[in-house]
Amino acid sequence: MDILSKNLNKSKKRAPLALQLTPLIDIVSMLVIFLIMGMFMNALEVPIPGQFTIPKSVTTVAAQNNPTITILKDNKLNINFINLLDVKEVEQEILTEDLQNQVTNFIETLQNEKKPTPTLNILADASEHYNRLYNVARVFQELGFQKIAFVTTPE
Amino acid sequence: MQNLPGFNPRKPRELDEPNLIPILNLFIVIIFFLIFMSSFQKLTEQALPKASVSTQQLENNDDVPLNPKLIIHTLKDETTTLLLSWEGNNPGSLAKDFIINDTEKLKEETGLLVEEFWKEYPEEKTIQVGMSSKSKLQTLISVLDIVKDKTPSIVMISPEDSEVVISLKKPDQLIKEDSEDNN
Repeated sequence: MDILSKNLNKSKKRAPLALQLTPLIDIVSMLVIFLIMGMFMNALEVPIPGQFTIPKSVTTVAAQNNPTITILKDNKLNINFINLLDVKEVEQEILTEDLQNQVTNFIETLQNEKKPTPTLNILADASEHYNRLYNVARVFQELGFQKIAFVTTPE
Repeated sequence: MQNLPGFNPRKPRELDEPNLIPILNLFIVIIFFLIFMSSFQKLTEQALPKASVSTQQLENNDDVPLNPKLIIHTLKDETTTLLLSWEGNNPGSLAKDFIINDTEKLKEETGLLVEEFWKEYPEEKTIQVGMSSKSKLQTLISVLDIVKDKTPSIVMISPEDSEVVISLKKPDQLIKEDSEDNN
């Protein structure tokens, strides 16, 4: 009986909680490496619509993360640089006055900050017709973009 | 070493550690999902260099070709005409007709044509590139791949202007195109 009561009364001392930090530090260090790499890569981040064939080119110049227009197949343009959170889709060649003002303001803001006007990336399907490409390039050149680049993939 | 009376060596305390293994498993699963969901593709750019325009009056020099234009005119049956024409005191043009089978064929033919032009005018650094309205972007990129190395200044010209150049130099091509459209 004595032995039993002795065992019942014997309570284990609770050890203090301690966080095992080693795996957490491993994960954080991996994340830091990824973030640093992402910061220096400056790669073009643009959603590519399904069924899109990007034209092939021998050029090895990496596409920069510049303002990008995607010429969609259903006569629409996708403009990503006016407001990144609100990607705009507009009918081809019919830029509303409001949209034209926004594009002009975008360029003027850069000029006021004494930043050079960036190259405008045009992303289109490899089978896109020249007249559509030319018209889009002309509209945005008239709005202030001086340099244009076509997004391609290496051969 | 003998312990002092009353000072018994204490056992190291066992620590209650949070079980990190399921958390790490979860992280790994999430990473796999993220990788599957996002597709990374290497993208390059074919930039059209900013055109340099000179307002300076050109001297009367026979060796300077004015406004060299490279026109790619493609019909529905993929018969393609490459036309390189220039003005000036000594105007001229070079033309080639072939059927586009693949981009390599186009590059080869374009390369031969412009090499012939550059042999005659090695100092020329400007070219205007135009295409018929139904020509494809891949055709333009393939031509730019060839032309861009030697000409730092490239200007895109409209499909309408390209048609005008073709109609002046090779009117038979437009007649052929009209008959194709009617058919």
